[in-house]
Amino acid sequence: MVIAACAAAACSRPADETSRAIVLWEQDDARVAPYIDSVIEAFKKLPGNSGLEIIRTHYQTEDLRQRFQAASLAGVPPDLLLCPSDTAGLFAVSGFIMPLENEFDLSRYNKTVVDAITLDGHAWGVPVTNGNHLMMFYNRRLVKTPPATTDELFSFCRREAPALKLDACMAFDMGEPFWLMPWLAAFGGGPMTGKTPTLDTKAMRDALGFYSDLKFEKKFVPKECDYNCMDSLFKEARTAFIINGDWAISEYQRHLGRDLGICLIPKLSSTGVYPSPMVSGKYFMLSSGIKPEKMAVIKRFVEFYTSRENQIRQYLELKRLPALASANSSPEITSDPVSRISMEQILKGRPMPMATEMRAVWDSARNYMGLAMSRKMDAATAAERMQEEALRKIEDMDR
Amino acid sequence: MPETLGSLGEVAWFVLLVAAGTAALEGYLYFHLRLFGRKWFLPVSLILFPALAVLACAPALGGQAAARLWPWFLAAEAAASAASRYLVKGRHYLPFMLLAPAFVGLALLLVYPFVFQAYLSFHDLKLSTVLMWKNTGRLPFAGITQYVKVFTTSPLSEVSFWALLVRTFVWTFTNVALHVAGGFVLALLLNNAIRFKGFYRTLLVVPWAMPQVVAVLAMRGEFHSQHGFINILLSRLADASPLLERLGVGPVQWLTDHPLLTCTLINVWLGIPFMMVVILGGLQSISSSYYDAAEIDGASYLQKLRYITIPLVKPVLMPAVTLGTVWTFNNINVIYLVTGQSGGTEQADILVSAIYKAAFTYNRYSYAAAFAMVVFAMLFAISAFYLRVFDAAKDER
Repeated sequence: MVIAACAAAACSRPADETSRAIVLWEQDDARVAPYIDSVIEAFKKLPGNSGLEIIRTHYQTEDLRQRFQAASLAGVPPDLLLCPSDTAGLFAVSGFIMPLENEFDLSRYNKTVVDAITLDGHAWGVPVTNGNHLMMFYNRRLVKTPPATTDELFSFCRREAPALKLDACMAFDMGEPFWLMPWLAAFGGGPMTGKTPTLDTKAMRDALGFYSDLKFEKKFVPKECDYNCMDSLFKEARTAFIINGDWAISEYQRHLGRDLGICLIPKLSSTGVYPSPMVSGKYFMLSSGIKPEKMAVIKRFVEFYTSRENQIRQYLELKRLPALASANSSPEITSDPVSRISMEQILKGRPMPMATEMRAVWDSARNYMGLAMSRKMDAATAAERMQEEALRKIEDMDR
Repeated sequence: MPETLGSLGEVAWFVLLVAAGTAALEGYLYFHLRLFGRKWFLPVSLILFPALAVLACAPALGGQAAARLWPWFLAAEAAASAASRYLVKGRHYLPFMLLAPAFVGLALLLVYPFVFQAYLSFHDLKLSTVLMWKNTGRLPFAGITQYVKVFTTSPLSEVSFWALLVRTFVWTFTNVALHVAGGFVLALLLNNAIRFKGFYRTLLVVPWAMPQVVAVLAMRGEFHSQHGFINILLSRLADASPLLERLGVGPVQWLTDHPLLTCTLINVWLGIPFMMVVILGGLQSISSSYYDAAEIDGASYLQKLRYITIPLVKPVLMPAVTLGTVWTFNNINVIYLVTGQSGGTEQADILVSAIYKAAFTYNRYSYAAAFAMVVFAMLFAISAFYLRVFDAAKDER
C-alpha cells in the first residue's frame, strides 16, 4: 500500500513541464539538431520569452510514433512534434493531435505541402519544409550530361558506364515501395484513390515489369541493394546515378563537392510521362493534450520557426526547401540551381496520402514487390495479391 | 555537460526513489512482523498507514480523490494487521523482509503488464477505439473474439497462422540444436589442456558479448550479394574449383532469396558462445576421477562421452536449452534487423515478428495481445515439458 502510494506520487508529471516549458519531440538527422537548437535559442531571446524553456528530445522515426502514442494514452504527451506527415493520419484518427486550420493561417504555405497534411477536411500540421521527395543525383566526374529520358539513361548505362568499371550504373532502394511510386505514376497509376488502394492495375504490372527488366535483363542496378547500400555506392563513386530524397542533398554536397549533379528523375520514354515522386514535408503537429495556457506561446514559437527569415536560413544551412510561399520566391533560393531543380521535381510530384490506410498499402506493396523482384511471383499475380492483401489489412484494421 | 549532469541527476533521483520505496516497504514489514505483539500495534497501524497512503496519493490524484480511497486503504490495512498479528505472528520475518522488494519489483515489472495484456486480449483496442479509451478509460468487451481471430486470420499476407507456427518451430529447433551442437564441440575442445585457452575462449565469446544490434548488422553486411564476405568466399571457391562451380557453388542473393536461412545462420553464430560457456562450466565441474576409472576399464573416447560427459552435463544443459528455446522463439531482433527495419518482406517472419507488425504497423493492440497470450501459453507448455523431462532424468539418476 505504501509502495503503491509512493509510486503514484512519483509518477506525477515532472516539475519542469509547466506553462513556461515547451516539450518538442523530433526525428530529424543528427546534423539538423544544431539548426533546430539555434532557432530555439533565438526564440528564447525574443522579448517576453525570458524564463521560457524548450525541451527538445530526439527519437528515431518509428520510436517517435510509438512513444507519442504511448505518451498520449498515458496523458503525458509532448506539446509539439516535428516530423513527416506519414504518421499524421494515425495520430489524427486517434485524437492525439489537434486540427490546426483555425489556429494558423495556412494559406501562407505552399498548397501541395498543406494538402499532404489534410485529412477529412482538416489540416493536422504546420509545414516546415517542402519536399521530402525523391530526385536524381549523379556524379559529374562520371556523367557529363544528365539524362532527360530513360532512353538516354539506359544508353549511357549500356555504352559509357562499362568503361567506368562501376559496381552498377544506377542505384536506388528497390525494396521500398516509396521508390516505386514515381515510376508507378509514370506508367499512369497511383497507390490510392481516396482511401481505396489501386494496386491491381496495368500501371502497377508495368512498373514491376520495368523494375524486373532493370534488375534481371538490363542489369543496370545492383542485384540486392537497400538504402545504406545505394547511399554508400554513390558516395564512393561506385555508381553514376542514385535516386534519393532531398534530405540527402547536403550530405552528398559534403561528400562529392562540385562533382555532385542533381536532375529530375528522367522522363519515362515508353509513356512520355515524368515519374512523379510523393511530396510532403516536415510538419509541426500539436498534441491535443496541450494545456490552454501554453497555446499562445506554442503558436508564437511555430510562427517564429516558420517565419520567412528562418525558412530562408533553413534552406541555406540544410538545403531544405521552405514551405512558406513567400520564402520560396526569395532571391537566395531562386538563384540556387539546386533549389530550382528540387522545386521543379516537386512540381512534378503528387501529395503523399496521409490516410491511415496507406500503411496497409506500403506493407502489402513491399511484400509483393519483394516476391516479384526475387522472381518468386510474376508481376501480374503480385499486383493482384497486393491489392487483395491491402484491402484485407484495411478491413482487419477497422474490424 | 549540463545535459550529462541532468541525465546523471535523473538516474540518481530514480535510484533514490527506489531506495526510499524499499526503505518504506521494509519499515512497514518490520512494524508488522516484529511489533505485532505490542498493545498499541492495531490502533497505530489502522490510523497511521491509511493516512500516510492518502497523503502520498494526494499529489498524483488530487486531495478529494485520494480521500475517497481512505476506506479501501483502511480495509487493506486491517486485513494486513490482522494477518500479521494472528496468522503470521512474526514467523520467518527475515525471509519475508528480504524477499519482499524482489516480489514487489516483479509484480510491478511483470505481473502488471501481464494482467494488462490479458485484459486487452478480451477487449477491443485498435485505431478506431483508441480515442474512446483515452476519453473514457473504457474499451468494448470482445470476449474470445480476438483469440478466434488469432487462429483464423494471419497478420501476414502469404502465410497463415499455422504455417507461421510451423516456421517458428523449425526456426527454434534448428537454432537451438545448432547452438547446442556448436557449443558442445567448442566446449569439448576448450576443455582440453591447450595453449592460449583463455585467448580462444575470449575470442569465441565476442559475438555474445557484443551488443546484438552491432553484431547482427555487421553480419548482415557479410551476407550482401556483392560485397559480403560469404559471397566473395563462394566466388573464389567456384573460381578455384570447376567441380564446385558445376555443383552450383557460387554467389547467392542471401537477403532476397533466403532471408530466413540468413537469419538462422546469423543467429547460430550469435547463440553458440552462450551454450559454449554454459557447457564448458558443466564440463569443468566433472571430476576427473570418473574419466580415470573409465580409462582403467578401457573405455573409448565415445563411450566416455556417452556414459560420463553427456549425463553429467545434462543438469546444466537443460536449463540452458529451455532458456535458449524461449529466447529463440521470441527472437525478434535478428529477424527485424536482417530483413529490414522498415518492415521487410514476410519471408522471414516468425510468430513474434508477426505480432509486432499487428501491434505497431496496424495498431491492432487487442489482437496482438491475444496473439502474445497464445505464444506465452505455447512457451509455458514447452518450458514445463522440458522441466518435466529434466526432472524425470534426475529421478532416473
